[in-house]
Amino acid sequence: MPNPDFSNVRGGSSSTAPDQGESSQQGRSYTVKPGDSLSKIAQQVYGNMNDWRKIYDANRDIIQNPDLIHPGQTLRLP
Amino acid sequence: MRTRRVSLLALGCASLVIAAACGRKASGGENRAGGENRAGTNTISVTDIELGRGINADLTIKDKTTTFRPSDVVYASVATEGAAPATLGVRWTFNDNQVVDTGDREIHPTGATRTEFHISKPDGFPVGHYRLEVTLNGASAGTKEFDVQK
Repeated sequence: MPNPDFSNVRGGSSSTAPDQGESSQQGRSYTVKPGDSLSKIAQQVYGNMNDWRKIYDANRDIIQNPDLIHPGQTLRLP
Repeated sequence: MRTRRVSLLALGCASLVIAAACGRKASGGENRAGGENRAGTNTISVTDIELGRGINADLTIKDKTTTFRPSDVVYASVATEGAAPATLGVRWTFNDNQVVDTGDREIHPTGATRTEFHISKPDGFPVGHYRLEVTLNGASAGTKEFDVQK
C-alpha cells in the first residue's frame, strides 16, 4: 500500500513569548485570534478594512481562501 | 593449565559485559534529562503539551481531544516555564515512520508561556495513528499520540 501524500500539509505556529526583534517594523506579523477576519485585521492594523487584500496578497502561501483564516496562524503584515 | 586459561578468558568476557552495561546506563540517564535546557543561570523547560481542535486567545487548547476528523485542524499547545531563549520544534509523524510535517519556533520568554503549533490538510488527513514529538533546543521534550478517524 503506497504511503499517503502529505506534501500539501500546512503548518504554522504562534507564541505568547516574544520573538526576537518583534518590535521591529520590518517583518511585522500578526497572530490570528478567534473571531478574526482579514478585513477586521486590516481595520485594526491599517485603519481601513478594505486593505484586507494587502494582507491576503502577502500571505497567499498560507491562505487559500481569504474568507477562511484559522486562529493561531501567523500572518505577515506588508 | 588449560582450565586456568579458560577461567581467565571467562573473567575477561565478564568484565567487558559489565563495562558495556555501565556505559548504557549512564547514557540512558542523560537521555531522561531531555526537555530542560540550562543556559547560564536561566532554565527553560516544557511543562505541558495538549492537543485539540481549537485554540483560545491565550493559546491554550479549546477543544481537547486525541481523536480527530480528517478535516480538523490539529492544534498542539506547548507550555514552557523559564526565561531563556530557546527553540521549540515539532515533528508530526504518521504510523510511526512517515513524516507529516516539521516546524520550529524561536522564543524569548520572560516567564510562563504557551506556544501553539498546528497542521491542516486541505483534502483531509488519512485515517490512522499519528505522533507528535516536541523538542526543546533539539532534545526531545515530550510526545503525544493521536488518531484520525472518519
